[in-house]
Amino acid sequence: MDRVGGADANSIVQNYSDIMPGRPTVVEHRAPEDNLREHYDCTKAHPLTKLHAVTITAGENQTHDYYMTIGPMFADPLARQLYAEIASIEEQHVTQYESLMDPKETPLEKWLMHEAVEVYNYFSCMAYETNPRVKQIWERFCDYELGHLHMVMDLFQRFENRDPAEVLPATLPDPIEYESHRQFVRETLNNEVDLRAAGTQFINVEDEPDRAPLSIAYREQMNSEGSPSETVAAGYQWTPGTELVEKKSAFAKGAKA
Amino acid sequence: MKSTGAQAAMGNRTGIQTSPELAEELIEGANSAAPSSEGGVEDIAEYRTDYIAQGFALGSMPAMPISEEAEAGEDQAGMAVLLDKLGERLAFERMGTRLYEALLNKCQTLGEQTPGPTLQEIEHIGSEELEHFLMLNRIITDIGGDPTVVSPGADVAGVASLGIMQVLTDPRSSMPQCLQALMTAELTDNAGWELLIELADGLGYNDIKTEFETALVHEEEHLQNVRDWLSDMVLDKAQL
Repeated sequence: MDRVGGADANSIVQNYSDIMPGRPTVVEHRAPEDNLREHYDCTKAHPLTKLHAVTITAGENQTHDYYMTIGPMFADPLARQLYAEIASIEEQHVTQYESLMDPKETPLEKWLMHEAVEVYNYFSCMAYETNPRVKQIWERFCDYELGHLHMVMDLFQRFENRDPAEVLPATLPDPIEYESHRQFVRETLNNEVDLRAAGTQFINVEDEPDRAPLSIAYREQMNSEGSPSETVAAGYQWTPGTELVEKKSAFAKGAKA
Repeated sequence: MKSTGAQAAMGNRTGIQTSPELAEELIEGANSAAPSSEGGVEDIAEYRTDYIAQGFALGSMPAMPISEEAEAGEDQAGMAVLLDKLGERLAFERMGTRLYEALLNKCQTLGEQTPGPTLQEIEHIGSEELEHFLMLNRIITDIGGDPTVVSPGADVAGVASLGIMQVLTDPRSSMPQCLQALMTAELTDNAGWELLIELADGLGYNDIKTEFETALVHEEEHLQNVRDWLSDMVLDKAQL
């Protein structure tokens, strides 16, 4: 945003999240063989696990859509390539999270969980929304989704002869917390930035040559002509009001102030 | 890097006269069809009216700093407008610095052209854009504002500038095409500084008014230079 769009990224994150490097995009590419995870067992998994799996898959799918749709609208070749690069990672995320869902769930069961997820997400937005006008929108949408949920519960009973209580939580879990998770993110990043994937398992980076050689080969090919994310972020460190405040510009020498 | 000429040979096909026979069929087809819905272009205005009438503002300012001698209402209103317009100029000068970085990049790649700006001349303008950005950053802080705020004016300026950035960062745009886009930026910038001077004068900020007047002198020079380079390059291409 700063270098390509001329704006401060904190105008979006508004102090809630750090603007700092995570796992570099260049090391995120991995071979398809290392991209699936073990799915949950739909007969044993906690309902919240299912709600999380659907929620994160939907989020990643939306993010992938965003990069694929907006990227080609830039004239700047660097911005176009950056969006394409990130989109390829988002596609991995969609596949990874989608693979967490149990394929033994019937289509009606999956539909039921999707409706429950929509109720849960709108309910969470309602819980944390402070703008009264927007809060009313979340309430209305939560109502709509409750209607959909009850319709699918009815179908589930009629066509599968199963009790929806078998798959739905007895009560709605605590809402998703829409607040700063700075410490959690920092700790997770610190503990997990060097994790990689081998088959369905997470491994440490030093084990990758032995256990995930295909991912290394895949990554080398993907990055063989450079990486737009490395180029755009070269030497970048966020500072309030953009890096121009620190005179980090091609014009730094000439500027007097 | 030289063009292969492949695109030039194909030519521009956007006009109706690219294929007169197909154009005739196209017109015949359009004339044979009735509109899919009744009404006219005024329906669009009516549709938008409903939304405009709801009266939502585009952006807002944070709580205003209160000076000791502030006499409530009037001073606060003036300060709010000043901070909004300072934020707008700040966003514009920030974008301006990035625009001239892109122009410098283009000129370094294509080489200096005659007529046209030299690398040194582009660096001179870019440096002053950066200076103005830093000056506004300091002034907003000095009068008790927050320079990282996206004020409503800054938001609008950002949206309005998007097309200019698209032209400058398009690898295909020529130097005169970039200068044409920069004319839009420089004309707006000049008018923006003139308005800021009026505002600072009216609100009694004499010190910052003087700084703004210096910035306007720079901007007038930028505009004149861009206008001259553009005119020289276009007339040269037309062999006039």
